[in-house]
Amino acid sequence: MLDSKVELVVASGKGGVGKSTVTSSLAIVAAEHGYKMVAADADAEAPNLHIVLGVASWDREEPYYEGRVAYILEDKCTNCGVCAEVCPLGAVEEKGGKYWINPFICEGCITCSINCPEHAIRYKHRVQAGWIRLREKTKYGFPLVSGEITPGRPNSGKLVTEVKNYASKVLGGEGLLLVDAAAGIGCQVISSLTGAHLAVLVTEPTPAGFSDLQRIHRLTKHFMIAPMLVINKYDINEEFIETIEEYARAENIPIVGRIPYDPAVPKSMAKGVPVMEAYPSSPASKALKEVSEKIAGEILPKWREFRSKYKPRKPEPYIPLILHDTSRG
Amino acid sequence: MAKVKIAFPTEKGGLDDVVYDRLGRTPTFTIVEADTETGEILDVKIVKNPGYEAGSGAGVKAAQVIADAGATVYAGPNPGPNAYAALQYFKVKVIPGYVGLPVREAVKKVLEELRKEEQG
Amino acid sequence: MPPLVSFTGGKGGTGKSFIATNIAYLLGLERRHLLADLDVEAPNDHILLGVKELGEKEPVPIFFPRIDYSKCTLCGACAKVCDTGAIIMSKNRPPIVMPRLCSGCKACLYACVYDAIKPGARIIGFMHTTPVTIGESAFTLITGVLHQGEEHTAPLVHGVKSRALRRAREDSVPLLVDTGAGTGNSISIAIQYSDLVVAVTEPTPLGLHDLRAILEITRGLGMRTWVVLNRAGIGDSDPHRRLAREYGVEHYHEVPYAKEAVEAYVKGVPVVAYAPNSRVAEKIRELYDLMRPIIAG
Repeated sequence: MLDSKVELVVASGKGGVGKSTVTSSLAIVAAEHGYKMVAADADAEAPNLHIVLGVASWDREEPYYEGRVAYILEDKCTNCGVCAEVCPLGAVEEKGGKYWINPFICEGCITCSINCPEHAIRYKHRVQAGWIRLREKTKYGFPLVSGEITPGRPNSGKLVTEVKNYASKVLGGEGLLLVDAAAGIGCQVISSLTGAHLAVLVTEPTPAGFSDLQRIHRLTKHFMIAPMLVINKYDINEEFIETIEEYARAENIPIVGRIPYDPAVPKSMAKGVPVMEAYPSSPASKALKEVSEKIAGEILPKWREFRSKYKPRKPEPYIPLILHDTSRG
Repeated sequence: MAKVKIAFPTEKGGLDDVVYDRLGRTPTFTIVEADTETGEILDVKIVKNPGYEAGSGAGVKAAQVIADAGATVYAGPNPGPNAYAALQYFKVKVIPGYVGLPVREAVKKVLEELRKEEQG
Repeated sequence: MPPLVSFTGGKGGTGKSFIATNIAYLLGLERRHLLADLDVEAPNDHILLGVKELGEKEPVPIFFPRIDYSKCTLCGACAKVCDTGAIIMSKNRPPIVMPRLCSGCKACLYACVYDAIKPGARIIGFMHTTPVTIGESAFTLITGVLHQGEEHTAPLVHGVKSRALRRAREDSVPLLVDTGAGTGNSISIAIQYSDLVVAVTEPTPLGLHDLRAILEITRGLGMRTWVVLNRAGIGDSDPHRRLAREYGVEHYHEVPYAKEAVEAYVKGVPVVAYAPNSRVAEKIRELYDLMRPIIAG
């Protein structure tokens, strides 16, 4: 059906607006349409696609290593306390005059070791920072690759890259790579977006939802990704809908779905079942099915046309730095 | 003879490899030095990208490597906001596109594009 | 160290702020104390407590390098040690700093041997101090708010937590901490030095998953932990009870789902004040009574 690899990312900025609900519905419907596909959960801080898709066990689990953690060599340490003073995150704890570096806080910057007068601080490299898991066949037929960050470790853009690379390998060539993007802003989101051809942006009609939409949309413009918009819980705030729809019009973002607020959604999440299965005739299920059919049945088969129509004209000029005195260069 | 150094993101590297689909965490860059008039390829270098290993800030580290290699043109997938700003600071021209093309072919197209802009 | 109890819960929505604010109210009936809301990306304790406007705000700065170009020799050491890639430079271009990538670790400051990097600062957020009075209960709420667009929460969580700790020590009052959502190192910073960590979960598969992540951290740190299952009744809580036992958790407490809790939320009043005779208020008071020896010092 697809003659090359097509990457579609579902993104939303901050979490909690219904990204996973949209991704899982779309995945199920795409599978029904017979696409060769792989789903990738890049929301490594809080992966939950596997829960909604009913994955109870994994076929492969590989530890993911990244970064370093500092530790103090007890026999060289003179308990001077300088490391505790300079640590930017307060990771060095003191108990009864002895010092210890909390590995659940330390991010591995070199500040403490550079300042230690006794050179008593070393680094443990290749710390386990997460997991990459594979389920070869979910009950809907397609494979799922899921990344998770080890509790206590900082967020990682590289883990997202590894999850997507692994998923691409499992897909092996042509087909649909469906990515549930990381939430938030920063490296893990940027990494979720690079390489995507299409993006489904999920928002809700609140001031916070709107500013998140603008931010994530700006990022998609950077990567020349063709966006489409899904407004979730659209009936909770009728006035704000105008603002969002106006923005979408001005920015040439097609609105492909409006999902009403529906208690069936949190209820089905609590059960760990997709809402379209648990409550198929509920308003949200019907709307989700409609959106998914539109994307899987109309947009994906003609994705190149969609891209020419909705891809941004040129990359967004965006200078996030302060220029200092450049008289030297 | 006018020369130009162009940086392409690649996996293994070299003229026969294809342009990779990401910048920040591409494994290598293939730096091609070419004659702008004749299109002759004068030198090819493959450099490792430290951004590949980076937990965060990969795009910026990749931009740094491109600048350190002396490239004045980058061709490949669109850079993210931070990488883009860094490339601008380093005065590296960004020409987006060519993902999946063999580097050898991409070089020809980039030179064409540069010629067009000059005449522009 | 003043008595410190922190409330945490993984992904948002399990009810840790709900539990934290109710305990804060009950403790506030007996003595003055501090409640620190460290959910710096989206704090909401003030909303649950019916606070109309957050109080006095204080900017929270973190280190930011200032480069003295008259001393800079373009050696490149600063760019090399910078983990986040915030400092960039090349053969022909002097080093510059990209503020949004800088996490304030100071490695560049210590790496420069030419004294070309001076300590500067940039503001990553604010800390609000708000006196709270609800009926007979009185305490102080400290709220951390991260600037929009800032990626790193850890430096602000550390900044606000340190200030809250200092204040609690100076005034000799107990400190309650609401950690905010997630399981990253910001949470570890928020629960640091706790005499008790209360892990709040809910009877759903997601709640179970996050509970395991929190218990991994507290077990790894050897911290005294209790588990509170909020919204008991909406789903199967057996796995959560089993997990708590597996991790050797000292105490497991259930707080029922109740419409009074939703009503209290809408009203902006802690449910123990809004509906003191309800079952949910009873179970929270029970939890508080068990906690008293630890908190009330």
